[in-house]
Amino acid sequence: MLIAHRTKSFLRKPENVILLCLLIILTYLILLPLFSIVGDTFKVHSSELMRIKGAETGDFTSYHWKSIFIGKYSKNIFYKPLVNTVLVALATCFIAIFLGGVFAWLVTRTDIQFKKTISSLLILPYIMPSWTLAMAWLNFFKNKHVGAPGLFTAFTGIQTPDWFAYGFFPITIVLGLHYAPFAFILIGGILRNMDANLEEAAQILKAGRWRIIRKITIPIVLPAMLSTFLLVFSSAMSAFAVPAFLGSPVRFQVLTTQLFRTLNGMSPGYGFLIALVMIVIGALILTGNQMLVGKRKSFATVTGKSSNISLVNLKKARIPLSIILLVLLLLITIVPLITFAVQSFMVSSGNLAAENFTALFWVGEGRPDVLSGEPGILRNKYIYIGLWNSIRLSILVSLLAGTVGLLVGYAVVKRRGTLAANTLDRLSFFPYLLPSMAFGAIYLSMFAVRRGFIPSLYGTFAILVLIGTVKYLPFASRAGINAIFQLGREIEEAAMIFGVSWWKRMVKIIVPIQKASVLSGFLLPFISSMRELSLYILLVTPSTKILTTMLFQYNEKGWDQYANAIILFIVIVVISLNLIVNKVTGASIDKGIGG
Amino acid sequence: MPEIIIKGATKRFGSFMAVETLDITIEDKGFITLLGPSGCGKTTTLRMISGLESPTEGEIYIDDTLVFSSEKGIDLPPAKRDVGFLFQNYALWPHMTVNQNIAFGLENLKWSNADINHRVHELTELLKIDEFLGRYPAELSGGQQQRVAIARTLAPRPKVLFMDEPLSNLDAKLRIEMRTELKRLHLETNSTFVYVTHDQLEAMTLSSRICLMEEGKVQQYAAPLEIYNNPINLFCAEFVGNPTMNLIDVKCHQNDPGDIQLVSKDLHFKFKPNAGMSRLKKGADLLLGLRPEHISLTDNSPVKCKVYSTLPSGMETTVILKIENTLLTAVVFGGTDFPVDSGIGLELNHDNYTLFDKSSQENIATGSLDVLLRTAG
Repeated sequence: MLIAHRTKSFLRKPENVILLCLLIILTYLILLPLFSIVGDTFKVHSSELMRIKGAETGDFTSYHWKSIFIGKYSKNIFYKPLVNTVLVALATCFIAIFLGGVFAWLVTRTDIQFKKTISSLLILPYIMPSWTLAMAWLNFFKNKHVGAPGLFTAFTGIQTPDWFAYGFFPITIVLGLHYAPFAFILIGGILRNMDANLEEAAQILKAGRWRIIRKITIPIVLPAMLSTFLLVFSSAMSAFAVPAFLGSPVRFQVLTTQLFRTLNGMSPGYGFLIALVMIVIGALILTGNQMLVGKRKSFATVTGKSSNISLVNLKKARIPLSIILLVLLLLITIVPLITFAVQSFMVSSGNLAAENFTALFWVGEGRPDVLSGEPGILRNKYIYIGLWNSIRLSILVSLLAGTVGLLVGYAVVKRRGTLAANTLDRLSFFPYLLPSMAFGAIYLSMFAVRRGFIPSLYGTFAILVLIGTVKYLPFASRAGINAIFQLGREIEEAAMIFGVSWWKRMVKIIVPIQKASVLSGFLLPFISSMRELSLYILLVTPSTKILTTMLFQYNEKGWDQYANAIILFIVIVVISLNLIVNKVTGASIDKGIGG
Repeated sequence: MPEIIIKGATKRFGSFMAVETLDITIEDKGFITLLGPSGCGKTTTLRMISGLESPTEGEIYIDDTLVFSSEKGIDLPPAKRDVGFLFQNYALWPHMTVNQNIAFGLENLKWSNADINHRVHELTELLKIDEFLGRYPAELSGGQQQRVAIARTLAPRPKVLFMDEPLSNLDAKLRIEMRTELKRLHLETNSTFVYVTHDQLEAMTLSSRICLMEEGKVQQYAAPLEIYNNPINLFCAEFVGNPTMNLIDVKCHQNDPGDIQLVSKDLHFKFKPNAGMSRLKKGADLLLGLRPEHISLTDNSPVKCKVYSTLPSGMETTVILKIENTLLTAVVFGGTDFPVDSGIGLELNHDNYTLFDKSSQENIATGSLDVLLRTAG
């Protein structure tokens, strides 16, 4: 009787019901696949029958484990890509944190000019798909390795060396630039919120500018920097498109490209195992980050009025430095977009003669002699299908992830401190650490067959929506937790006293008050999904093609004009949506990142 | 001697005038309070003197050294001004222990380790925090953090100590305790204290002089009791004192020297200035200010009023009186209480009632009052 009573009163509270439902659903969608993938690494897959002698599909085997870790070819299949991955991720972190940190310091602590412009330009590389810059790099610097030379060679006649055009160097530069905004936002946020008095106190006590930075500023920002380091590391590790574009001409392999090759090729068992390794690394990083964030609690100080710190006077360097930064930012944000536009009008890249320019790729009906008679972009029904699929997918993902994220936020904050709430909090963040492609691989393996009442989802649009929702839930749940947390419980309790129903409380009180953070919980999944490639690439089929996967195919075929035009499409959709939402509601992507 | 002279200091933030042509001299070993409502420019003033903020115009001298001059382009950084600063939120460095926090300033001065150790222990003993040396700020209570902040500020023996609302984050009991200790510290350290607060009681009880500011301008710069007894204008009169001064709208009814009569809607007074005053215009609008403790209650006064409400605190009782439509606040010392709505008589038998001009809000005279019983009509 007592138990029945307790259960009843437990379930009377909406936050408990939400908590319970979400725990069950997310366990199924996030935890269970992990077990499924472990199973897949011990299984014989149909395409591997040739190599594993005498085995039947589905048999238990340790073949994959042996050949990946201790086999004759494990160096090329696994260890070299692993080392490459770690090196790329480390170098990326270094570049991102250095650039982001320096920019953050300049913007928050000095009297540099164009602060607003710099801040908003700096967010662009993160909003744009990471391979935007990779493609731009290719447009500029590609050499004879892949046919027509890039713009740089066309203008100067200098052949770029391979190490400069492809492989490790450009990959780290591009990824570093892509994640620099991330570091900028995280470190800048801490610097901005950091009590200026902490530095002033040191100033009064006669510490020099450098000593203050070294002894006060950096130690206080350090947890944020380490946190940035870990998050950038895991993101860089799971990046696929950039190494695929920039690495493949010189056969520079990382784990993700290796994963794509093996899963799409003859040895999915290898692929699942590589995915597992990446997940383990991701999980370790999550643990590390949690420990760091936990430690940050000791950094809580008494809050008082925090006055504006006196900005460092850059004196003579002010104007030149401001201009240099601005030009640099324009170079990595606006210039690439212009090259895409220009390249999409050129028959062969690198040839600047007037007759080389044509609108064929945009409005042509398709000539048999150029690119297999593919019609121009604006007349190409496949492009429209892809665009429609991309937008439809992103809207659904954003609605689902945003709503679930808000519910997660509600349940976690309401039941703060309980084991269930902590579990849900971590569970909803976990997909962030799952490398996109590994996650795709998991869903591929898990939903390829009918499971219970869930039919086989492979090849359906639903599986794309499902994986997108789960993958971007971390963004949405962070935003949701923030929104509910900041609101405080009294606001809702005031309505409860009047007997307002839960649904009404959400719709009429909580959401309207916190609309900016709630919206960013919807916006981030949309934008991320719009530019996502590696998550979906293993799961799309010809009928569910989306823009990014088409882009990848065009790029593999060497149809640069189409690739360039598509990238322009995506960037325009993403940036204009961000701008509109920002103008209308004040929500913006940078508020949600890493939160 | 570390005398601080501020000449015509002005600070504008964009078009907002935070501090306007401030001229004050802070004497050596004084305990000066910058007092005023929030946004009056008191913290900005403090930050300008300490060098954390640069004035837009003006000059500042500390100890005969010109530390800031807009004309001569001099702007010494805080480190060169030999000052200490205690922040409202303490600004303890969260990543350093109590010991490291206090020692930091001494390390900057290149003191030897032995000297640093000695000084740190001296201070932690003085402030009774020696048992917390190894702890981090987050592991201390508000009061303990406050003491650490004081120790850190005092460590390099600054000649001048600036304090920005240092007690506002403490609870009421601790605040009174720290007030006592700050006053002791002022004597023991033999240095000049400049203290910012919006709490008039704190300013009254602690300082040797109060600089009362409003909207970026100094209203009155004088000893606490001087401001209390002789406020230069209405703002000063109302800001200092709790309960606040009673103000009655009156008109000048009769302006013969020796027979000045003031009339409010409910009362009729005869005013005798303590010193000479310029002649009032007949019909002039004035305000009559009466401190609550200068209204006495007695049963045998012909001036009758009603007890509207009482607030007994034990040590004293604040009584709100009603005469027709006028409410007056009086303070009666001792633990007496009065039944609400009972009748009682009041007496104005003091000689420091203040008269303000209603339009200029200036103090025009102080004097004694007689209540004239209103004749019918």
